[in-house]
Amino acid sequence: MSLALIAALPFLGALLPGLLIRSGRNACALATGTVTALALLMLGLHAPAVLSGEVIHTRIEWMPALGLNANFFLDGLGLLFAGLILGIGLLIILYARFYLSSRDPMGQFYTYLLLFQGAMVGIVLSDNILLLLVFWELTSLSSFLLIGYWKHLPEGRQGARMALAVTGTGGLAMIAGMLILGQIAGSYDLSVILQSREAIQASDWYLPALVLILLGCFTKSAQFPFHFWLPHAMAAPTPVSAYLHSATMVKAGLFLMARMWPVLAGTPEWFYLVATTGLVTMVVAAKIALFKDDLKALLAFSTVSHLGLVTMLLGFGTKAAAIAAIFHIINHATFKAALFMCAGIVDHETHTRDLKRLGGLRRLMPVTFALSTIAALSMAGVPPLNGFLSKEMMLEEVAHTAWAGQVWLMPAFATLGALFSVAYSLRFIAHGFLGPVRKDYPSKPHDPPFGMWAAPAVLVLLLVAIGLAPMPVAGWLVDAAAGATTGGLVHAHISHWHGLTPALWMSVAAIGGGLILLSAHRPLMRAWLATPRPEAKRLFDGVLEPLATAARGVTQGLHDGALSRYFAIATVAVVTAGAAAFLTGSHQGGTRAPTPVDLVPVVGWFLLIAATVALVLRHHDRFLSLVFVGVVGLIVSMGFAYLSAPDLALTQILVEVATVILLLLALNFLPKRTPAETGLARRLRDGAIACAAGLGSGGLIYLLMTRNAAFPSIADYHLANAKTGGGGTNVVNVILVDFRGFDTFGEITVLGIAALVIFALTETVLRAGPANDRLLGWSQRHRQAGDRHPLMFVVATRMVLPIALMVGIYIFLRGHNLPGGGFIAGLVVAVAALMQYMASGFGWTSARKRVEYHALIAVGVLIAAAAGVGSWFAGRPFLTSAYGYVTLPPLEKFELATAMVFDIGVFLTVLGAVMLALASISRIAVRAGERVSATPYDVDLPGDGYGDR
Amino acid sequence: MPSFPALLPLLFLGFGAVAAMLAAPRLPRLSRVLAALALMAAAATLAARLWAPAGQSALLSDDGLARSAGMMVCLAALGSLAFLRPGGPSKEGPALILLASLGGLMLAGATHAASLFLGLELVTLALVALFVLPLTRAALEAGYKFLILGAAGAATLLMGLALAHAASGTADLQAFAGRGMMLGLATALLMAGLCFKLALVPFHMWTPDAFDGAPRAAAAFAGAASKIAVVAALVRLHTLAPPEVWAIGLGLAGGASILLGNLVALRQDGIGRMLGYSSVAHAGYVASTLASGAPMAAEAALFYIAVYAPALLAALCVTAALGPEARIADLRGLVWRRPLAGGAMALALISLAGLPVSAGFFGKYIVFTALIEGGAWTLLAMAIAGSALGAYYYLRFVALIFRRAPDPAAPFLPAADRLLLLLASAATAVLGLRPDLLLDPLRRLLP
Repeated sequence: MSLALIAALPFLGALLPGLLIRSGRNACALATGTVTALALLMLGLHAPAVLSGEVIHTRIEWMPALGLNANFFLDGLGLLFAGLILGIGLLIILYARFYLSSRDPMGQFYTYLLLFQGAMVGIVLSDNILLLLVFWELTSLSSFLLIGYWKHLPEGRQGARMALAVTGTGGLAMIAGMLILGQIAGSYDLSVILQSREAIQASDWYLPALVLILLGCFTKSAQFPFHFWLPHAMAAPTPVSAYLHSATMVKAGLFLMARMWPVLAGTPEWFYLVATTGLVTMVVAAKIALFKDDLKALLAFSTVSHLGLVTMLLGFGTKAAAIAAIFHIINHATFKAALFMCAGIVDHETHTRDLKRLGGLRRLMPVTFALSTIAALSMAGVPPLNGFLSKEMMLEEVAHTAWAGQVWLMPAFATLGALFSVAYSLRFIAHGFLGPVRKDYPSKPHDPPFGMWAAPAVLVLLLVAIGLAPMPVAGWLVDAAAGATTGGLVHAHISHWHGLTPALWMSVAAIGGGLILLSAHRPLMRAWLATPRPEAKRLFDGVLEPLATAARGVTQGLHDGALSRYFAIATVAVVTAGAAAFLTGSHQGGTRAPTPVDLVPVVGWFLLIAATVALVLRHHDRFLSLVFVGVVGLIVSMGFAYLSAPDLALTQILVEVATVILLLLALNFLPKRTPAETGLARRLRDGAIACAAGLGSGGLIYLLMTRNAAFPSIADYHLANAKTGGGGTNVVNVILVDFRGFDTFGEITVLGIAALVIFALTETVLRAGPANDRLLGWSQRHRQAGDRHPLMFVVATRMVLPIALMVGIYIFLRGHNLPGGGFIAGLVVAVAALMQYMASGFGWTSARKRVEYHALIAVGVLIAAAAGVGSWFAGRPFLTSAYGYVTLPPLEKFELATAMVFDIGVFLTVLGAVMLALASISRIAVRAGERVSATPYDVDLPGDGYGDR
Repeated sequence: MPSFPALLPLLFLGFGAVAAMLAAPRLPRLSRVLAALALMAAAATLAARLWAPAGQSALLSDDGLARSAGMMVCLAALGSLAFLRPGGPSKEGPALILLASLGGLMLAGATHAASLFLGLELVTLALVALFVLPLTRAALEAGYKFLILGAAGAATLLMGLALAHAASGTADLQAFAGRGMMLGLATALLMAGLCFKLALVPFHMWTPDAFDGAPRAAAAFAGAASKIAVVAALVRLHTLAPPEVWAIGLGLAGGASILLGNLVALRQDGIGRMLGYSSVAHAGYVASTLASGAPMAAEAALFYIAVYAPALLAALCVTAALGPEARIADLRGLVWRRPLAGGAMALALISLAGLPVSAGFFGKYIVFTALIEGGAWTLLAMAIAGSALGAYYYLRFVALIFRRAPDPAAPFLPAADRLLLLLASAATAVLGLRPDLLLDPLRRLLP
């Protein structure tokens, strides 16, 4: 339990600073420090056991189904890192107490810091890779908060986002890599995975997993070519830089490489990926560091360089190299954190970090000078300090390592890196502290209070102690950590003198060369500034900029808001999907014999196509296109008649008449032409898409028509049962009102709703608004006939009306057995009424309207429903029909079916729907200036022109 | 025949819709209350029968998938209802939400072409009406585009269903378990139709307008409740192992959605549009998961959309409170002005970004696991790239929430909004710590 507690303690404690900040800054810092110290103490209690080779486990079942358990374990490696994180954390808390000014929200800072600390401790103690991932992402998040802490600085925000973008992306890649490892090993527990070296390295997935995990490590540890984010994250307050960017977060990548070392290392892939990256990073970053004037930037790049050094050592895959790596991690944490804190002190006192404006601080800040000098000498690798020891071990390893058969390559570059390292370390001192005292510091510097330099002092003491007596001070820790890394017992031999080895000569060369480089710094700097080089930030922006451009391009190209474009894209996609499915499927020819071609259908087909083509070509003229639509409808109804479907033909032709008349009436109040809005190219493109879609749907239909469906046709069933089951010989009508009565009921309801929608839509036009204004100002712009309601036409329609009504009733009554029925009858009557509107005008007809069409629809639907419900009383399901034969004395025996009641409902609804649509249009007409005539001949006098005579 | 209790949720929603519609003109408040009660009753009856033995009728299946997805639809609908602003020219919102939920429930249980289509259309048409409710220009445009594109999608889907019927002789969705060219075509068309509803590239065009112009609550329904229902239908079809074109198509659409959605969202400053494009990307993760062919794909897909829903609801609720044209700058310092709104928004965005400790992290994690299990490396790479982009732009918004701002104006949050934000954040946080609370039941409920 206590391991989980160590990881949880900082999270729990993160509440304290926020609560205690009201009681003062000291209380706040003290509380934070206590939390950390407590965690460190608990860790310390485990130390003896771990150092004796034991591994401590804490297992908590969290989500076993997911493979996610809150398992923690503590071995030497974990102990080393957890100790570093908590120990340096404690010093940072002390340092930050004095560093932060009274204006900075300190409570927030300590909260973020503890969150980060908890996440880091979590990473190094996790025994479950998923848990590790959770903590890993948490460090990204909390470091985002810490780096962006000074929110008033825009660089801070940018730096924070860049850091997050880079490490976050790497983290995501790492998740994938870890999941692959888990799949191979069959468990997400690290202790299990660490046992599965053979299985993992033999797997095909080894390389992808390795690359993905290394992406995570390299981005986190700022390895080349991802090194650019670290210097930009330096906008953070110095305690953050010291903590995150020297001691802890950037080492998370190193930790993970060390942790995975037993399973991943030792292969050529590992060597070339890791060692090469490390070497390149070490040299490139060291060179950049030499030419940075900003103290923190110099330290930042030197950090990158030293991280590269450790990465390279881990990449060698040998035990000795791993020992050197571990030892250097310890040393780097001590001298680099101390240097960062000293840089922070200089910044705090002089208000500048620019080496060009510094110098001569030796006398003004003697304590800081002393601390900085020792730490910098250690960084430079000057004996007898600890930096020298680990650098020597590194050079020793490098001297024995060949890269692609080249023995000289690694030693040469490593020496170069060390040389740069010496140069920039000494420059930190020489240009910052030595030289004459200046008069123009932005602020008068002096040594800070004890509290501020206490933290770096502790670290400097430590590094001197390690340097002087490496084995007693640090040997045991290195043994334990390196043992845990390599998975075996380790006894490191750290000493100052190994004899006249190549490593010693390389070291001497590095120090000598570094001194020369420093003395020639001024001309070198000029040359450096003169040479063009890729600025890292610009590279990052260079990645981001195309993305942004692409985003803009996609937005403008795809999402311009034009529905026609959306449609074109969607249509192309559907056609492509269909084509793909067709091409990947196995196509076989149709099973049905084609019908022989007759002349009549061919003529009809040509007419149909001709009318369609004409419609497409002339669609700007709305009146003309209406005519072509009429032609199409007519041919379709003739087709029905030709194919022996009189009911359909009748219905179709009546629907055509009704809709064309309605459209004509509506066209009165619409522009007569559709404006052309697109160019030729666009129209050709759209035409091509339309043709493809048409061919696609045509092909589908052809496919269906040339083969029998997988089920027997239901036509035979209907033919056989229409008379016996439904009591009618007109199968179509029996289907409508009986077999599929439920469908018809739904359809007439929809029809009614559609009519109501038309009414509601015109209602909005009649309300006050721009549309209404246009309507009020409406004037017929085109020429009209002299006599708008010719007498002959009026009289003829009046005479036809009763006949038409009679026909309607006749068709209704005979519907059950012969072509006809409620639907057709409703249309016939509606057309009869439509003619009156056409002939006599809206005003006249509306004035004589005695039925509310809304009511007609409602009554129709209700009657149909009642007919259906009626069957419930007979104990049958909804809409079961019954029929019987009735004899009335003067007439022949005739049939009555309950379905006829239903049909009446259909009749009324259809009639009501058509008439309501018409009424809606006529309301608009009245509003647009048509008036009810008062003259005896019942002829409208239009408001304009005609009536004035 | 399904037993009466199995139909109870549908009845609650149906009659609730009628009652809410009747109450709407005179008593809009009552209408809202009725709608909320109906949704709660439906959710409760579903929850009560969650572990009951499965039943089956010709049209609807009454099994774990239908019940769990149905329950999530009801809860998400409740969430949308909470911040559906009353007032405006039309008051039918609550009734429409009930109708759409009814469609969602049908969709979740649909085993037949008819019920699938009915469910889809019920959702779509009710959503069109919901979109245009404020009768503003932007809302009308959103509704119009959704209607027209949705109609095209519906037509495509119908063609697919008809082809499957012709090829197999059954209108049961079982037809899609078959093979052959006709069924391949049918599957392609069916999938295109479903992609419209799920807003997958290239059928996603209606999304940004809907999230920007329509009422936020309507967008929330389209993004959360409606997508849960469609994902349930996808999962049901997926378990039938349709022809290969299914996985190929879903993979292509899913991968393209992940990349395009995240890419375009990168540059959006309007919160609504950003969430709209990101919703395209999130649907993409779900589709890729199903395309991976992993055995765990079904539960992963449902889990992902289930944890996406509360985050989206919270984000859109806050967006609604910020006004009709909420932009990124309006978020500045929100957490100091309105701690609840700011905190909920930040948590929601973190969850959408897939960072711990939020439910979204496990959503991403499970999707990644499924992609690896299915060996879908290309899709995995796309998902990683998309998530990285996503983290980048979501955190842009998160960072602003925490920045101290001089602007003292604080958006008004009604009590229902506050409750929703609390519950949605609680769900996001709790599932971020204990995803098994949802994942285990899902795993056992799915076929």
